[in-house]
Amino acid sequence: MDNETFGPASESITRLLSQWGAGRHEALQRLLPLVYGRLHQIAQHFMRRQRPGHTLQATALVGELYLRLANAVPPDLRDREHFFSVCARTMRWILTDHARQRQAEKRQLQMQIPFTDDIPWLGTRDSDTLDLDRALSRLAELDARAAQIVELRIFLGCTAAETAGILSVSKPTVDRSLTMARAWLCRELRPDGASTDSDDAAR
Amino acid sequence: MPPAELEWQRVAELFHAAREMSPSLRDAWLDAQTGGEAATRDEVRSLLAAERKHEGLSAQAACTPAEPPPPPARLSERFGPYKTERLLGQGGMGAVYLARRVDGQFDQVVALKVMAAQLADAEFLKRFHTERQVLASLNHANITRLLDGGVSSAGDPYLVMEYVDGVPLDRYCDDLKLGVEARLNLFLDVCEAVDFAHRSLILHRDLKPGNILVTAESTVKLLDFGTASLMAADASVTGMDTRMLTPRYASPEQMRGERSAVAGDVFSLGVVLYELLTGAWPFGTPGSVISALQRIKGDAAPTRPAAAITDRAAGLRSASPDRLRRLLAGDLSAIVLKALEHDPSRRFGSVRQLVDDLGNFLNGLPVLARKQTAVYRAGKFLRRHLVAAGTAAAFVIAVTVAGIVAVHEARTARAEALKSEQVSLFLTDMLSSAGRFSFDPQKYTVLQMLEAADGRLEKGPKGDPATEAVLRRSLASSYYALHRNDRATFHLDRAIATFRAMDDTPELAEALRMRSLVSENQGQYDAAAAFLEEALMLVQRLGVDASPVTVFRIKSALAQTFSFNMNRHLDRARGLYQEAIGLANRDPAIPRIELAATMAKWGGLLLEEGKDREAEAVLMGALETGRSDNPGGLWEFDPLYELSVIRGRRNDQAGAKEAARQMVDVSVRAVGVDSSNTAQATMTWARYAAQTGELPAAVSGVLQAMPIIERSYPSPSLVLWHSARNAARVMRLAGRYAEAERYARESLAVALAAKLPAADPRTANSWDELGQTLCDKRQFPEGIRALEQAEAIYIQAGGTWLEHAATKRRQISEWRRQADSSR
Repeated sequence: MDNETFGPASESITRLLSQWGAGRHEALQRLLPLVYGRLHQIAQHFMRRQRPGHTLQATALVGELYLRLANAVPPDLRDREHFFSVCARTMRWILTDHARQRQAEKRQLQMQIPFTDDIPWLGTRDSDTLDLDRALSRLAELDARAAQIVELRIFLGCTAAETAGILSVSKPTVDRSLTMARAWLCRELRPDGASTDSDDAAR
Repeated sequence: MPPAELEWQRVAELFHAAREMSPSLRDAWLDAQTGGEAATRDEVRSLLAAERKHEGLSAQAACTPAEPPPPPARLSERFGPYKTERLLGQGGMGAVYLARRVDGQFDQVVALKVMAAQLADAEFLKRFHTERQVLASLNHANITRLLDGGVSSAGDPYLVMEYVDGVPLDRYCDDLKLGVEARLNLFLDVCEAVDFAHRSLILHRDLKPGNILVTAESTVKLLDFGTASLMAADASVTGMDTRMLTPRYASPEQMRGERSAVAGDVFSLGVVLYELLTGAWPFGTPGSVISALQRIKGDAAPTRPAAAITDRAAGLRSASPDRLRRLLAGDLSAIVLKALEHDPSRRFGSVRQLVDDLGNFLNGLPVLARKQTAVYRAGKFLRRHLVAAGTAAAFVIAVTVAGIVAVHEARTARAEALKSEQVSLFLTDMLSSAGRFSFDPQKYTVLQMLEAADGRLEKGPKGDPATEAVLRRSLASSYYALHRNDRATFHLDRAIATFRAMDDTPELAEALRMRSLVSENQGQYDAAAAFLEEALMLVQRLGVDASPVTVFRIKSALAQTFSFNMNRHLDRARGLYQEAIGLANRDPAIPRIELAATMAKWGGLLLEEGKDREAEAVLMGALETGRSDNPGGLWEFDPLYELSVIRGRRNDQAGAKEAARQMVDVSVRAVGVDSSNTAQATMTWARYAAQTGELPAAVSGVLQAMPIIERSYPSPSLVLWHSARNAARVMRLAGRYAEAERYARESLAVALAAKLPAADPRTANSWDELGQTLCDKRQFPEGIRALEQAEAIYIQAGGTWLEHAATKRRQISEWRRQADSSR
């Protein structure tokens, strides 16, 4: 593996991943802060959102870690689910954190919610990032599974089939959750009566 | 479940049911279902309304462009002698405009690519200028020329290129419904152009149909050659510029952010070719993150071209689906798949080779790609052994692990052990690239795999005795790496018995050497030496048939045994060291780090014999040699320690401190700050640091390291004695007498508990430290008594220690005088 490409934290990440792979679940706890840092580093290089179809954006975020993980896959499926959920959650955290900061500084956003082709209106307003974060937290209280599914879909771009595989549920379950969640999010984030976004910030 | 969740579940059920209904029935049904629960009913209706709104918004979003239109100022803007007229397209990094020359020189229409100013910094601009000149020299009929470039007055870097009026390659071929042969010919034009650029050492890095235009005259024109790197603002941190690469055509190594190479362009060409021939993407549906990740990792194999054909695709290629499938099976398929290999080294080495093979295909000649594939599939070396195919998997594993062990052996210091998780990681890595086996590495531990291989060896066909013996040896080395000495011995003994029954063979030498290692591990030093002696005689008989590395290892190992473990045949040890080192100096095949380790051992021997000067030279040589291979590795620990001792003896305090400091560095890096190894190194360093005036640092080093030492080396360990004495000295020099006294007493206690011989100077050293501390504290009667104890023992020890005795005598007189005068 190419250690030179990665920063000083990479050795610890590798070590922790292999420990996790050898079944030491507590290694995951120590891994998470390192993961945040690393992902954050990468995320800082994103500019405006990509055109639909450019999945490399999300790939960049988790690709490096996935490579290492894939060579130390823990036998316990629960952990793989956990890993992907963590990555999605991390992206959400990074974007939310960024939005909060920019709001406080009264500056424009540099990173936005990745484009999800079945919820294309999501992210067209700069306020969406923070609103989405709040909404997802509320959703998690009502239906934790749905919130997880939505997170994977929006922040990692996982297809329904992939999400089903990660969470060990059936694809129809995922589809249903997404359908309802989309409507619910629309209600939360677009409560106004107007159906045109004429006051959108330029994307 | 809390009420809110229950409610949610119910709402969800109703929601999903209701939306399937026709609108006219919906409301009534909903009313009926919810009865008196108005809140629930309203909630469902509100969500249904929200869904409609969502659909409305989605439809709108589909019409809005995903990118903002360029600020109007960009049009009719001046860039050098050019003025932009209209937007041609927009990429990740910037926009491309149609522009016209307006400085009156001549009429010229160009394509002008602009990059936003804020993305360019000084570093970038410098590179931009240099690379631009390189690209401008690329002169080929099928490559759009880079005409000019610069930075506008507004500060925006821009490139001026030949304007091409053409259509992307894939669309061109589909529009004209070109058949396979016509498409191949166009593709060959593309390849020739790419190959030309490669020969000028320019990579494209972003080949895709969008960058390959075809004019109305059927001329192919490649765009954006090398501009992928030219326009990349900052590829450094992640190693990849996520805005530039088109994932659909990017090679796995490009997606991982590794440096581009010819192989990357070959891959991209492979994807283009695949799509030209089949109308499909080789890796299924261009999906999301997970599939991209699988591609990066190499888990996604391309679909066989023939299997990817659709009826529609066949129509666009003016052929029937059956005919197309036949055309794309066999040789053509092999060529495309070779270009798409996950491992870059398995692809065509150059675009020229791809062109040649396509040429072979078109001329009905045998195709190299096909042959390669066949060799690859059959090429697993174990197939050549006389072992049934079913057990091949198990033995690949065994031999693979043995290979890992061999590499690891060269890099391991005495203290390190090979952990089974590490082996597992290596193994999974290697197996994943080696193909499919009946073992799923995700399900078995290495040990289990070994045991399975073991079982099969006992029960299944073994092939001829020699092969069996080789396999046993491989298994043994794997077991040894995992500290299963019993199984290692079991297999080695059988392998050795077999080899002994044959004529002299190098395999026996290796087996004997390995067997001796196991014996040594088990503390059976005599047996270890016996095996090595036999091995030595064998390699002498073998002469040139013995591998130099094996000979070196045997001689080194035997030398060590003679100097450290056995009845000290120092002459033989010395001779063997010199022979081994001489051999390594002549033969670069012997790893430098092994040579360094051997030199260090020899240096240690010289040190013990009191030949300081010689030892120092050898040790410095060892460090230099080893550092050329593995600088900063844990192997440096022992030689550095010995160097510090030599320099300390010479009274080169600064030099000793430096060596000790490097020891600490090496240890921290290899085993961490909290390890006992590091603590020992720290104590050694602290002593010299204190003696060269770095008192605060030395004190904190002691405070940090001593608890670890005390924990790891309880009395009567001599390591504790040594460290405690150093600690005492450091504290005394720092004026912290209470602690100095405590450590001095600790070292004394250890010396006494260790039951050292009566005249052992180490006891004297402890008395010495204690005495000096007490005297510094002006606790005279006791202090002087301690010094006298030290003196007595030094005298008994004799030799060079008499000098110490004399020093003590002087100190005692001085302190006596001070004690008397203060009374």
